[in-house]
Amino acid sequence: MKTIELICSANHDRSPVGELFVQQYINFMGLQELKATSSGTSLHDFRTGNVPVKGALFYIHQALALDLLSAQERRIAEALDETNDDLITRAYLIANDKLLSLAKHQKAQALEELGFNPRKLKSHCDQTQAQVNVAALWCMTEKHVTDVQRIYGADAPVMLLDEQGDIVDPYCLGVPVYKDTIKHIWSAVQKRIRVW
Amino acid sequence: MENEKVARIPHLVSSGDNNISGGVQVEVVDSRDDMASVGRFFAQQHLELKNPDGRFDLEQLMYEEDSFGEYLIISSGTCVANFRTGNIPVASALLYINQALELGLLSAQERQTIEALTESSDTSLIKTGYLIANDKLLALAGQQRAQALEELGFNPRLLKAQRDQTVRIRGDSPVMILCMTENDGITVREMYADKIKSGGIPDVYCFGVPDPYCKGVKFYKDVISEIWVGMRRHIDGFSGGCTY
Repeated sequence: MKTIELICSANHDRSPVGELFVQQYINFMGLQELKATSSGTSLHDFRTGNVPVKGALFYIHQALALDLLSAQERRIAEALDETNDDLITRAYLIANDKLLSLAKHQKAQALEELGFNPRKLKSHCDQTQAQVNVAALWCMTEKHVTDVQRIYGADAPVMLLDEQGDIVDPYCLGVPVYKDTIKHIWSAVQKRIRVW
Repeated sequence: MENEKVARIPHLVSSGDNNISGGVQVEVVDSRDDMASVGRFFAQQHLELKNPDGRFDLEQLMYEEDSFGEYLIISSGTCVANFRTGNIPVASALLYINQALELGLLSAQERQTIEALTESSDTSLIKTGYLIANDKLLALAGQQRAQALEELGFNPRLLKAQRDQTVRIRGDSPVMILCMTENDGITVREMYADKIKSGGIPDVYCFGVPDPYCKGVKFYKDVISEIWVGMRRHIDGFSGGCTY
């Protein structure tokens, strides 16, 4: 059995949704020889806090702005500057944990409002690793294409899911943004799978 | 598909009586408005997802009104009223009664009353037995349909909540009617015979899918898959082809 792998950064928002749509298409069209999977190129780094300081601070500020932190967490996060790496990593991990929950909630609501069942999304996230029997690797952004080529090698069947450009990251940007992103992914999957 | 696309576009543009509240009407039909409402849901979802500017909100439209921008997707059942009132042949009534018995849906008391029924029993007794059995079957069918949709990755809570009888309302005129079975097709062709005879609308298409009523989640999933494929093909052709 060959797989079509959908790829984004954290395998949290975009690529699992793409996987759901590709798998639906495979099931309904009776393409038994194919299976959809998904992964994230930077999942391991996101999980361990191995992200650039600027990136970590960005997520911490996002959690602050969205009022996701407790009073104590807020005090620590507000006092952070770019010089204390260890504290930043810890604060990032706390912030990202809260952001992940919010993102999951927003994504689920958006999917439900568009008529899909979010419980059919995969329940876990996977780091992108070279796999055998991969028929196609469809990436959300150009950066993912570059990352995947580094993981799989230059000959890998890697391409942008939407050849016209990147599919933006909706992470915690609200249900309307998720809905737009889901629509974008849906349209791109229909187009890509027909051409493929 | 290409031919259908070219053939239908002039209808949409030129037929003034197709426009109801600014919408072009497409009707999905089966006997109970059971799978027809699934077809309607897929048609609306497909149109919304195809729509690039995100003007339409599926959930809002499904609960507030059926108008979908320039489209009006409705669903109905040719026999909804008869099924509801028990106005069906005795043999059919007994079939549903036996189905409810076999599925263990009846209470001991209901079972006692109903098990004794035969074609020669009093028709009012058969009718009462049918209405009891059908009420239970409807609940089971709703549950099986919802589970099948969920397992296929869809949200069944966006299906319309009610069932509607197929009627030809004066002034309304769908440009396309998509039927689940040939029998449904025959009924709607009779309903619109004068228009069809004069070479006008509507175009009536039949999917030819079996009725999954209470036949289990697996059966529903197979039928729903066929409807998904068929509905996309017709809606893409109808709305001017794939514009992803």
